[in-house]
Amino acid sequence: MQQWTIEGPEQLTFGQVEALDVRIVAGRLAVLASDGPPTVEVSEIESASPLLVTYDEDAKELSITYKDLTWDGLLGWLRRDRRRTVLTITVPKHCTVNAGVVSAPAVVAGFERMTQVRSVSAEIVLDGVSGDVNATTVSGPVESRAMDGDLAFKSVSGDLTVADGTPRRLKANTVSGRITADLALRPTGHVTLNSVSGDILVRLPENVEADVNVRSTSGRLVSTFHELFNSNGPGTKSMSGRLGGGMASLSAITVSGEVALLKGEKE
Amino acid sequence: MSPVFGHGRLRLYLLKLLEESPRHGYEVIRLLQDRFLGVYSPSPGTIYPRLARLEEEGLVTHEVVEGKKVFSITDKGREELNARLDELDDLEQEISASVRDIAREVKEDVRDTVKSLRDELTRMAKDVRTGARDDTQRLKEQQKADFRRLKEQQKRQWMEHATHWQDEGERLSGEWRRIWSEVWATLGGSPTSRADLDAELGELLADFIAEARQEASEARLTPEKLAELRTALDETRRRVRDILEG
Repeated sequence: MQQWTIEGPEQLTFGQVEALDVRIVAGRLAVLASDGPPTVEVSEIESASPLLVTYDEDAKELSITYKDLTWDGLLGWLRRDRRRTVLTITVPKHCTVNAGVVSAPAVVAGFERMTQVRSVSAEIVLDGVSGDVNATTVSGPVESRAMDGDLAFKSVSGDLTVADGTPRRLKANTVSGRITADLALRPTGHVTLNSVSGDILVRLPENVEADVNVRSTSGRLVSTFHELFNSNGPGTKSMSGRLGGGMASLSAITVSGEVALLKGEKE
Repeated sequence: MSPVFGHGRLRLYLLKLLEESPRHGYEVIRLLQDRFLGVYSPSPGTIYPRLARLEEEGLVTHEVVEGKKVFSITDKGREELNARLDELDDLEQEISASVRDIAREVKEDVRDTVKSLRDELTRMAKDVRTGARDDTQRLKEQQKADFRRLKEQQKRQWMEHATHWQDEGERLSGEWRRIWSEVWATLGGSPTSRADLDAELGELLADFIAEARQEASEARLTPEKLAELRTALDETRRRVRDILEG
């Protein structure tokens, strides 16, 4: 087990890393997949308490955090001192990534195994991340491009945008966040979008094959797929039906948020 | 070519990659791509002549393994590498600077994509909404026409199948039961928990199918096996029905 205490700009290189755990407060974080040796580069640091880097060679675990910053305590840091760190990390794409930020915008790109990102108010950008992805924010937005595999998103007011997504499973739960998704669905694709007051906008290819089920208590439901059947019961509206031969499944449920299902180009 | 590789630095980096371990030419190309996260993608037309050149100078050598050239560094190559260690450090510094640039570019790029997507879909949804009123009217008329057409069709079918009315009747009653139970499910019970349960069932089914497909793609599928699978699935279907009705 090796440990470094970082108080100024510095660059470190490590042996094999299979699990990364990084937590910072403010500044900027980038975690990129690369086949080169794992590196950590601190290019700016402005903090009363130093950054702690721990590398466990046997477990192949790398952790970067402040001594006194725990997962449970992330929220508390919003009110306290501003610790600014600009951090760029490269680790192999099969590495599991666990990243937490308070107000530091984070970019995570290229990972294929298990990726977990938590943020309080910072924006999270996921590019080409596949495998099992978990993103939780309070008010920070999550923007994903070219996702594949499983994505679970949870937020209070943070928006979710998925561009060019091919989910196996996409599950999004938000209170007032807006969900925008441009998706292609494989036969086993399973999409569940839930929001209380946030709007849900989904675009599917014209020739999509999916069973669709959209429901809302008071939100407006619109669709450019004319195959869908509208029904308005007491206290709930729904729009459902089979697109193409069906098989993949998409469900969207809101209380007062609007749901729009839009037809895109042929895939 | 990326500015990172001015002044004979590609040569230095090639030596470094080969010092780490002997490699195929294509492996060298892939490693360069990976270290630069796809931003710098050298072509075989760049790399192979360079390796050949290094070999002429006696800095690398190759042996043929399974019909492919595997390059490795020579002592002379190691000497040059050691003499230029400082330069190598600089180079790695610059690479990390370019990694930081890449991170920034990725972010800006994704943000642009996402923003234009959001704008586009919002506009589309708005268009649908304003057009929705006309659409409802049109849809209603269309449904009416469809209904009329269907009624005609059914009437004709009814005549044609009058002799099989009993079968048909049974099928219809099954259909009705399905529709009725669906409607009942929508109205009765708390909608969210029902939806969650539905979603979970959907996931189970999706997983099942994904797994079955995966296994099938690995195995050799024969008509006999398929028949066996059909029996197994029929049985499962019966069990599912029993559970759901029980």
